[in-house]
Amino acid sequence: MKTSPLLARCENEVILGRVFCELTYAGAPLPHRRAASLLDGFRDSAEYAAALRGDVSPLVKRLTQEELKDERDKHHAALLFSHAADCVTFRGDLERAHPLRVRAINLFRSISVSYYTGIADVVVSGTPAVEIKEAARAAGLDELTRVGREARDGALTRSRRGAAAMKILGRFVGDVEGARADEVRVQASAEAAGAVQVALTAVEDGLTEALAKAEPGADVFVWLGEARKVWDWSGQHVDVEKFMVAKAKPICWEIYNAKRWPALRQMTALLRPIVSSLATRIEQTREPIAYAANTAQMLVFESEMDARLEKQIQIAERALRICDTHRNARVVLCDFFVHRANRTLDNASVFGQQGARRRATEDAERARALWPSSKRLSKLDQRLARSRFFG
Amino acid sequence: MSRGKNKRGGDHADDVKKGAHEELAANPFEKYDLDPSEGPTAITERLRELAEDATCDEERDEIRAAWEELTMHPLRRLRAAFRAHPEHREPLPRRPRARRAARSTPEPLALLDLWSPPELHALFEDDAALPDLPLVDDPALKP
Repeated sequence: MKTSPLLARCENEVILGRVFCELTYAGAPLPHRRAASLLDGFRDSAEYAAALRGDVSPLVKRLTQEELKDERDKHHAALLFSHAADCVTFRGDLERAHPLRVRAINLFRSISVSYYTGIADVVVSGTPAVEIKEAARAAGLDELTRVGREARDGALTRSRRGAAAMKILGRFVGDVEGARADEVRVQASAEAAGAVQVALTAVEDGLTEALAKAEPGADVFVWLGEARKVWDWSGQHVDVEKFMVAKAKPICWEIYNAKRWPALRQMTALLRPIVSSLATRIEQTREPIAYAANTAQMLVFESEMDARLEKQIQIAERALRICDTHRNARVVLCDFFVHRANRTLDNASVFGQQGARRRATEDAERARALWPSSKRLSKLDQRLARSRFFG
Repeated sequence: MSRGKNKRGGDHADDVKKGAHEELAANPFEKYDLDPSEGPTAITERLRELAEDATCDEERDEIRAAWEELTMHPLRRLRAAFRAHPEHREPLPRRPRARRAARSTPEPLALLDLWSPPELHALFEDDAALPDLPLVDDPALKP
């Protein structure tokens, strides 16, 4: 027997209310009752029958995972999940809000532009078609815009909600598949970059003021520490890495020239994860290639401040991997190889002379390939020649 | 589900501390239970009714702001419509009207209708003549 429209409506409203509470929390402000027509297409399903018996979990699972076909259902579901994410965010349960928001974004972008223009035909008249098309196109990405606004709002104070918004944007910056993937990626990148820019404004001002003093002092470290916090807040955004490397390099040179080694060690320790992350990006994608030289120089500073020779070589080799023409990296790595060769010869036992000489020669060849005019290398060559003669 | 002109929120939402969810900005179409497909005239009419029923200036200002949002610029109305649940529910059948009794044309009053019988008239002239009986037993009231 066919259910009467009024009863169907009432059932849908009750079930959707329960579904919404399952998605959010008891007492959450429910969506508009028109939202209940989302369930029209599920009425004959086993999940709906279970929901009528009091178990809404299967229906919630289906609504959360199923790829909806009908444009109207997508619209209702997108608004439902968006509202659910708002409610849960409002309660401070940001972890729980994340999948709800991602679902809303994915549903919104899956709605065709023609569906939106169909709504426009009914809602407005006399508006130029170009404007309507633009509004319809933007509607599919509106949820991302809202997330971007939330990120910017929380950027200056580095709020938890802002960080959660950055995390959502980060989800759409990388590999995105499905409808309007390119547009989504561009929009998410722009929103995230905008928020990072806001977050770095205060840091940049503070850093500029701190650098106006005679030599880099404690306040420089404070502001670079703040930039590091922005990096953590933003989910390790590449723009923060670029900013920090660009700002820190001249400061490091100033400290280096003043031979303030503890300060340089402190600086490289502070910057290590940022420099490493940027170096990884360059190694993997060659994307921020304009920053390769700066990053390589920061790695050179780091290698010089490390006390372990093998680690020093490892870091300097990495600097060369991302910028193979970097002069300082070549000079420093050449010195490290020469140093290791000398050490190998120094520590050789009576019976291990031959092997030590072979290893030292290999290092000398590596050093020669990097910086043939090194004076230390010449001395090493002389030492190796002597050892061959006497050995 | 939300109720008519009331703000978003349903039965169990009443349990939540009042105003706790004010931060959640409601779409004006949903907040005032307006159908996005209705034009500015219908929106104006509905919001005017609500403004007349408003109990304080703050509420009236909110309604006015919503009215401006939805009627002053078509693109803003359109954007709000995109963020509102559209009406896709199956229309309810019209409730049959209660059948009224056939209205008979009243007959004009005749002189006889205005005339009261003399015995009844006499009863009211003299209070003492009223019988000391329950009303049900009063012969004057018998049909």
